[in-house]
Amino acid sequence: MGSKTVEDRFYILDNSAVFTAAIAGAAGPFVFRLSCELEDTVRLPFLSLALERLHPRFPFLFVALGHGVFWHYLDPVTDAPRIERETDYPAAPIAHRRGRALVRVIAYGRRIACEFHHAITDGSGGMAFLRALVVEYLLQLDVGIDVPRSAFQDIPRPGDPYDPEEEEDAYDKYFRKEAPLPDSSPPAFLMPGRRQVIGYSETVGRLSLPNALAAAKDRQATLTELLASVHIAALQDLYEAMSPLARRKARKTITVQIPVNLRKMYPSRTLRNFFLFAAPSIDLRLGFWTFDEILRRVHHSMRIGLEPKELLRQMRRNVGSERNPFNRVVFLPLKEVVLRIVNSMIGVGSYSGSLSNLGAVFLPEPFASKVIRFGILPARSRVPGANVGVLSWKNELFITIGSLVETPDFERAFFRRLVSLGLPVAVESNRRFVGVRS
Amino acid sequence: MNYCPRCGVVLAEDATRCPLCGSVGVSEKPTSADSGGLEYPGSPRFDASRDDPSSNDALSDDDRRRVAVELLSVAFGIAFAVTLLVDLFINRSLSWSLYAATAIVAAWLVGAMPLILYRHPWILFAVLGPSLVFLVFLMDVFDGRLGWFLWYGLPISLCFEISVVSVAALICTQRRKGLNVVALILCGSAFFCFGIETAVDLNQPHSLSYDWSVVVALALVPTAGILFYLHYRIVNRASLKKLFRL
Repeated sequence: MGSKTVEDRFYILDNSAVFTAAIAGAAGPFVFRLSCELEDTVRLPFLSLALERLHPRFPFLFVALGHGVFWHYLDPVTDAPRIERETDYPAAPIAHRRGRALVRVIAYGRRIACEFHHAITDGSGGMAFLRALVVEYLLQLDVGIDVPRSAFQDIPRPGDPYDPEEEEDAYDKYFRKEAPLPDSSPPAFLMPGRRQVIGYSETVGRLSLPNALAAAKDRQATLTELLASVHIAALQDLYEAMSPLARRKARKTITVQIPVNLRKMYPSRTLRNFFLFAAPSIDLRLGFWTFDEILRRVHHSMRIGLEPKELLRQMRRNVGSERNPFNRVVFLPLKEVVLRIVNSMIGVGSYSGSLSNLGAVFLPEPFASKVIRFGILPARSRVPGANVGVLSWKNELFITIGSLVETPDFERAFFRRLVSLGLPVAVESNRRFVGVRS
Repeated sequence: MNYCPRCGVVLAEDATRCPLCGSVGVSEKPTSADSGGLEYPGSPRFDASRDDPSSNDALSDDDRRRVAVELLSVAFGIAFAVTLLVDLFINRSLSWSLYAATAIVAAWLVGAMPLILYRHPWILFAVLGPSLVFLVFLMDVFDGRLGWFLWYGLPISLCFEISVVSVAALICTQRRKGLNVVALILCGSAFFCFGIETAVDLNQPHSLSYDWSVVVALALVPTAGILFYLHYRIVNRASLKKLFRL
């Protein structure tokens, strides 16, 4: 890349990033993708120019991961980032090397995609950047040049004054050391099936947003609760389809992690990570769960999980261990080993999948009319196998399942469940190219 | 307009090649220019190539490894056969060709086994380790009696293997590879020299005494230390504030 790093400036990783940077690997690279499909073919010189103009506005995104004696740190990459070519499979690991920014901007046909390492930002921060990039690119093409500044609302522009609050560690700001630790979770059921080594399957279901919202409202639930229930029900279907012997060996708790955007509860303008998890679950030892039973349980779990005081307990566990004086002086390689063990116990081993709902994506006119859709692809995760990303654009809901499992059983179960709720789904997938076993 | 046929993007008018992938720009709009949704550049090519074995891009990594093993096997197989046949033709018996053929087998094992067992490094070691020692053993018994193998061949072979495996394992654990790899190889070489001198001295009438291997170590180990220092402190150019933040 030929990038230079600035020696006297560096960023400290936020609490979530400490974890993801330490345990990221081929099995779970913590790289997620946000993409935007335009009406017309991407014009590379204009996109390069837009990125060049915009990147000083997001200095905390264009950073490389450095290894200290005790902690990782983030080194600013000062050279203008380059647009990268699309690869055969999305969300591939990003190498942790000097001068290599933890973000990729990719152009292919009519698509602009950004892939972010979770060490630098979460879905909300990433989407803020992608929206700004798309708007800046369209402005370079003379689209919307007469739009007044006020119409851009919260979309950062290159000339805007830089807001230091965007790079704050909001976990640290709201941490309370007197909060008790959260309850531990049991090991969770993992979907069966061999995992792909290189490939990553992306399956998108497109459905009407008003219909989906109405279906959720009819059941006195939010859209996230409805989709989380579908996720759990689909996993239960996979469990039921297993052989009796495999069922006996399988773990008996299905838990789905739902990232909660904390900015809505704890005022912060940070564009770095600021989320925790709600984790609704069902216990399969209690017998078969009907969809209504699952939805009721998810609804109440989410109410409890979203309680600010409940979230404080998670923050206490995560940030508290980072602040512990003993933990601080442990050498980084040893910390990485410990964090990998912790991750296998209370992280990846304790949930069956995750569902991230980024909510509605908005762009002002005339930019919105130049965009066909946005997309979110969750990070690869070999242990759970498949994760779900959700967002809405205009009047459509896009549900993306990113899967490392060789067979599309989970996708089939998930979308069948949606259809059974009276929600027709149009499904497309890149699976036919990755050697699905017949 | 000027398009990249692979990436499907519109290039600058004066660009001859795509800055993303290096493909030569084309004026006719390629099908990839309309790509969006879930289309990826490798996918259709990957699929179509299943019927086109001549295309190098069509091969997966596994296929490439299989082809490489096949090529190595054919090449070394021919060399093996020719060596034995020439010896038989000239001397009417197998003499020198036994040594050459053993070396060819050793070369094939070292070349092909990592490709076959690349996912199982410990099985690879379990196969290569005894095989190479056995081949050294064969070289000794070709003359009809066991001479130098037990006293020299076996310990030196084992020492060589231990050095190589240790250095390889340590290199694999390094996140950032550079001068530290050279330093580790130097340390491994110093260890191997110690092993050789130990094996040789133990078979001499005088007691064990280290001479030349110490001189080698005195040259190699400080050099390795300098390389480690350069790698971790100078080349990385990280400030102490970053490195030692608590």
